[in-house]
Amino acid sequence: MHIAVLAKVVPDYEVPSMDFELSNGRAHERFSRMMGLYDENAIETGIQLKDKTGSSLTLISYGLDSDVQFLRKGVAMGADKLVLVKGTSDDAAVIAQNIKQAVEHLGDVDLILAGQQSADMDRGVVPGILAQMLGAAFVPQVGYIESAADQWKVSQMTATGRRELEFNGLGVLSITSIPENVPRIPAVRAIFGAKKKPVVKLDGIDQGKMALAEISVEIPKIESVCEFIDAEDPNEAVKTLLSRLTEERYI
Amino acid sequence: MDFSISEEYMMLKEAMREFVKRELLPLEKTLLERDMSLWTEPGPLIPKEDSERLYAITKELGFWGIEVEEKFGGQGLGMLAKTLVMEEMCKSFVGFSPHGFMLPPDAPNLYYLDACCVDDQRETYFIPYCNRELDSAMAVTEPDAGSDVSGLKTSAVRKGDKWVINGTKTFISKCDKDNVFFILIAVTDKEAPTKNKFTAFLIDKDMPGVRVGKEIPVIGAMPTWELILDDVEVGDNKILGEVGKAFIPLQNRFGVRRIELASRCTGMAERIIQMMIDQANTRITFGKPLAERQTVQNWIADSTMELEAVRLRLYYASWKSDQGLTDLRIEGSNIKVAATEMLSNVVDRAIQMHGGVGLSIELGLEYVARMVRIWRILEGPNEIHRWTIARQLLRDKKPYNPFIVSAEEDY
Repeated sequence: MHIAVLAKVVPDYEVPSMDFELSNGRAHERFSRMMGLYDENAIETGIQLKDKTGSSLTLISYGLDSDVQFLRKGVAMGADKLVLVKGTSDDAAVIAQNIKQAVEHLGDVDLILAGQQSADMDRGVVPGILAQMLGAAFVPQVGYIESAADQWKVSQMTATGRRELEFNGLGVLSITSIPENVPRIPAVRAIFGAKKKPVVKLDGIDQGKMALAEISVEIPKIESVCEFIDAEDPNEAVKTLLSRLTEERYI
Repeated sequence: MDFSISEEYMMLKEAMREFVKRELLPLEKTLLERDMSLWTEPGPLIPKEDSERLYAITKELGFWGIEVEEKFGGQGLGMLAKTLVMEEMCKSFVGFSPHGFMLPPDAPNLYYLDACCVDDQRETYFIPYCNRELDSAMAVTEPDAGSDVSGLKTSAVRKGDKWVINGTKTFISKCDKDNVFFILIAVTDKEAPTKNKFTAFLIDKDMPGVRVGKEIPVIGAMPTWELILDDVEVGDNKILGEVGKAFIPLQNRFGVRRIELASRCTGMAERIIQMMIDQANTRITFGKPLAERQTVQNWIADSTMELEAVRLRLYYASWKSDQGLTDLRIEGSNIKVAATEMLSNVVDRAIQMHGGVGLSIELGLEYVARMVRIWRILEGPNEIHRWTIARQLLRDKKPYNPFIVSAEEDY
C-alpha cells in the first residue's frame, strides 16, 4: 500500500495574520517559513497508518526548491521520500493539476491525505479539486481512518458532530487535528538521516487556471489592549469584567 | 566565512523548541512555586515523576549526550549542536535552571572521567555514570579556598597502602542524591608547586568517614552542602588520574562547562527580549504603548545588541571545540563573563520595563535575576576570568588572535 501526504510551506503560522507585512499581496519574505500546521497532523496520521498497515509513505508538495529544507521535517518524522513539483502559482486548480501530476508519477498511490487548512485564507479547496480530477472520493475534516478489507472507514469531525463514512478505491482526505494525531517530534537520529531519503523534483505545469483574478489583499488590524482586572474573588472579577465590557460597548 | 546553519541543526533546534513548548513550559508554574519554598521544604524543583517522564522522552528523542561520543552512548554531534539545543531548552525556566531539568550525562565530568579512569574505575564509575545509574559532583571548594586553590587544606596522607583523607569541603552540589560519587581534590604534597600538589580521588557517599553537613541556603536555587571527610581511607584504586596532577585535565572540563553556562544565558536572554517586545507592544501608559517610548526602545535595542555579540562568540567557542581545540581557557572565560553580565543587564531592564509585575514571582524574571547573580560567582568569579584573559595576553605580549585558517583542501 502507498500513502501520499500533501504538504506545503507557509509563512510562520505563529505570527497573527494581522501582523504580516504584505509584499505583492503575500507575507513578506522576511517572515520565517515552515510546514503548514495541519499538514503535520496529516503526516502524523499517515505515519500511524503506515506503521499499522506496512505501507510506504511519500510527501508531495508544490512549490520552490528552497521549500525542501522545511519539507524535510516530514521525512524526519517518518516519510520515505519527497516529491516536489516546482511552481509558483497560487491558483487552486493549477496546484491540484500539479499534484495530480506527482500522484500519477508515483503510479501506485492508494490514499491521499492533506491538512485541512490552506495557506490562501483558508479556502481549503485543493484536496477537493484534486479528488475530482482523479475521480476519487473526497472527505474533508477527517479525524480517524481505518483500513478494513479493501475499504476505508473514516470519521469526519466537525464542530457540529461526527459522521462515519466508508469508501472503496482511491480517496483524498483532508485531515483535522485530534489528540491522536499530534505531530511527533522528530528524533535526533531521524533528523540526521532525513537527507539520505530520496527527493524527486518534477517540473510544474501552469495550465488550467480558474477564471479568477486577485484584485487586492487586505488583512484587517485588530487592536488589542491588555488590562488587568484587579479582584481577589472570581465572582467580583466577572462582575467587573462585565461592567467594563458594557462600558466600552462591546456587549 | 560561512555563517549559515545546516538544515539538520535548524531541525534540531526546532525539535527542542517543540519539546520545550509541550513539556517544559507547562512545568514553569510548579518550578517557581517550589523555588519559593525550597529552604523550608527541601527537594527537587520539579516533582520526581515529571523529571522521570522528561528523562524518558528526551532519551527516546535522542537528546541525551548530544556532544558525547557515540562510543559512550551519545550522539557525537559536537559542542555547536549541544549549544543550539541548550539555547532552545533554556528558553524555559525549567531548562534554564540546572536544578530544574538537565540533559544527561553531564559531559564535562564525563570527559574528565574518561580521560582519567583506569582499570576497574571504568566499570565502577565511568560506565554507570554514562548510563545515568550514578551521578557525580566535584568537591573542590573549601571555606578558605575558592578560586585560589592554593588555600586548599583537605589532605590525603599516605599510610601503608592507603590514603587517609581529612578535611571539610563547602558548596558541594548533589549531596542529597543517593547515587552520587564525588571527585574530590586533596593536597597530597603540600611542599610541591601548585601544579604537582593536588590529587583527585573518587569518593563514594557511603564510605566510612564521609558525612554530609548542613545545607547552605543562598539567594537562588543552588542547593549545596558541606562535605566532611573524617579519616576516610581509600586505596590507590580511588586515585583519579595521576598523583599530584589533579588540575591539568580540570582545565579542559571547565572550558566545556563555560560554553554550556553561556548557552543557558543566551537562550534565556532571547526569551526575555521576546517578553520585553510583547510588553512594549501591549502595555499602554499615558495614552501610548510603551513601544513608542525611546527609553523602552533603547532597552530592547541594547539587549539585542548585547545578546548577539555574546551569541557569536559562543558559537565561535563551540565551533573551536568541535575543531578539536581543547585549550579554550580564553574563550571560556570570555563567554562566561560576557554571557552572565549580558543576561544580568537584560533581565534587569526587563524587570524595569514590567514595573511591579516584573518583580512578581509568577512572571519568573526575578528567578532569572537571582540565578544569573549566582552564576557571576559560580564557575569562577568574573573578575578571576578577566584576570585569566589579561594574564595570558600580557604573558604573550600580544592581543588575542581569533583567526584560524581553514584546513587545506585537496586540489
